[in-house]
Amino acid sequence: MNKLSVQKFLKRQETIISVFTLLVFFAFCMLSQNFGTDSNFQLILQQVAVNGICVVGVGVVVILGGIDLSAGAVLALSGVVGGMFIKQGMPVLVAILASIGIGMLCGAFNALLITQLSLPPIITTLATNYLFRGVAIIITGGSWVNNFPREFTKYGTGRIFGTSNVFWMFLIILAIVSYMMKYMNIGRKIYAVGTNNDAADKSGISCTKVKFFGYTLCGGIIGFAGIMYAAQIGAVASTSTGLTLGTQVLAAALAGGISIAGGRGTLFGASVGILMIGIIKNGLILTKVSEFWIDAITGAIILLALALNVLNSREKRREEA
Amino acid sequence: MKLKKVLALVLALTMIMAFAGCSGNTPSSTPASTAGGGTESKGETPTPAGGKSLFICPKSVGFDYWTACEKGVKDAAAALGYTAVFNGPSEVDSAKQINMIEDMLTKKISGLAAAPNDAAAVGPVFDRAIEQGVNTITFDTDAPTTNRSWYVGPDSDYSMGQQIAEMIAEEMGGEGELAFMVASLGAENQVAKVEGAKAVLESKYPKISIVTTVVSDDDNQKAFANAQNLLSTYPNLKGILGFAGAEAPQAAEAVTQAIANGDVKEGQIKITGIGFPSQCRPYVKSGILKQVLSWNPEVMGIVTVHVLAAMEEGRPIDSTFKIDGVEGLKIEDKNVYSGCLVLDINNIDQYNYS
Repeated sequence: MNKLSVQKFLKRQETIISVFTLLVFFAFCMLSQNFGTDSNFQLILQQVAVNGICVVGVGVVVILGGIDLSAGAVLALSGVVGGMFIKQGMPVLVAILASIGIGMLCGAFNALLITQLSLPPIITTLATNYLFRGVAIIITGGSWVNNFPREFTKYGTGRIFGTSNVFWMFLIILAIVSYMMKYMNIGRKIYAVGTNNDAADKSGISCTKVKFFGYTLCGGIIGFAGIMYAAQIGAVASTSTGLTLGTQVLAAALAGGISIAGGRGTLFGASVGILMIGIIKNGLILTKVSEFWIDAITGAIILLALALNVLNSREKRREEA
Repeated sequence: MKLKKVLALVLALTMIMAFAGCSGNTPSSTPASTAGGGTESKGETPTPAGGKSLFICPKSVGFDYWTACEKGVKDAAAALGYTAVFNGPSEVDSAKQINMIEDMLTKKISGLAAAPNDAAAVGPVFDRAIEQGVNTITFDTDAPTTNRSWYVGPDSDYSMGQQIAEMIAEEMGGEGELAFMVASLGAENQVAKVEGAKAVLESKYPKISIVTTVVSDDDNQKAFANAQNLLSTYPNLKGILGFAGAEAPQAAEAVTQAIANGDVKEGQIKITGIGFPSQCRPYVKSGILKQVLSWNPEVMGIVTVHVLAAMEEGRPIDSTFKIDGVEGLKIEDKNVYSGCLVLDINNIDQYNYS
């Protein structure tokens, strides 16, 4: 029995991505003396924190059987709105709530189109990605929102026990939402809807409500990430902030074992996925790889992680059958 | 259920209309805001067909960069006795821009200056303008493959690369490790600037070694992380040179935070590059950035109008071409360069574009 459970553990997607990430980590340690230092490790944690918060939100939506390509635009819009509140001299808490509120509105708007008009999520969020970014550009006139007071940026740049505040926030959000997904009624319903929408519907789950909840939660989490982006980076550019976030977060979630078809995977796996991407991006610069190779190598490593995942889940399904 | 669907549709429509309404307002508000400035701007210009009206078409309107440019255009046109319409698409869009140019061509304009959103796509509409006898030039962004007569810009990319290299070399005292931060490896404006900078550093400052180039894709977060990674990778790094607008300020932010965390000593890393006032202001004030190379879009607007006026009046555009109040004017081949501007603590508050 013991042997079986060990085998089962080894075949979990989270185990595979974690081991893979560790391998990548040690490879970089060997290639560069500066990579394995404590200060660089703290740097990586700080660099993945904002995207990590986003992956928790997007992970919920993908488990739900949906997809959110508008994440980058929601990040920009909520960051811009929160940043403007700060510039108006509003208390930090009010600005954070405003950002979360804007994010939730965006998420709810996505959910409205997806559930009420039955539009495919990929098309809906592809379109709203432009819409939300357009709104951000209009309200800022296309310029940056920056030059924040220190009372605000200290939340993003400060450290607790040597680790970035924002990374701790990411861990807390990950823990809360993971608990919800595993032990709370609504979390199990999200898995059920993602696994089989019709079956969930027939068994009395209101899929519409569950989807609304999932997308709105995702939007709110990204909204929070948006204001932390402003606090950490010190500037939000309506035109370019988060341009590549949507695809990057999705790649992390899939590499981390969340199934694109929904219903399978965990937020922990997705978070390890984003950590892996952060390690690759940092490590490739520290190992002094030619700038022309960085994108190609990043892509190849992510592809490898995705392939491992797909092969593993195919084998598992064969065993189950 | 049915009611909900209707509700959803109505909500979606209102949001779309609000969106369209907003973007629709942007161009119309631009002329309105300048109407007080004294010059007529839009549509039925009272100008006789004598050919004194100019159409200046930026990449888009609503951005403060273009608003500053518009001020230069309007002032210069008023001074020279021309009517200038300054209008562009509400978003950076090539097809809309070409439509606007076509519309204006039916209105008997004598001069056209465009900052093309797609340098290749404006070729045919430029040809039509030239056939009609409209003086046609580009400004801000060139379309070298078209038949435009002149290009008005701040300076050649190669020369700007040389200038920022001189600035960083001076700050570094002519020696040490230097990293390049670029927005893209392929974009012509970045490639030419990097070539210019490399040429200066290799020939004049052999003790400066270029250790690496990092690419941000114009993304603040990536530029910021790139700068942090540079600090981690090269403990002896002495300088960072930013080749696009986001690079220098994000590097300055990364260094500011690294100093606060005790990872980097104050004054150890020198940063400069291309920069815009509203983005660099906090770092210029704090002293992390001593200077950045910029250009004033207002001056570019003035020069654009003067070039069109000279063409209209048959004056030559060569070494005799001078504009009062504009220094550093350069004419090379078919390019008129309006000149760059070094922003530092003493002058940055005079400018407000981004």
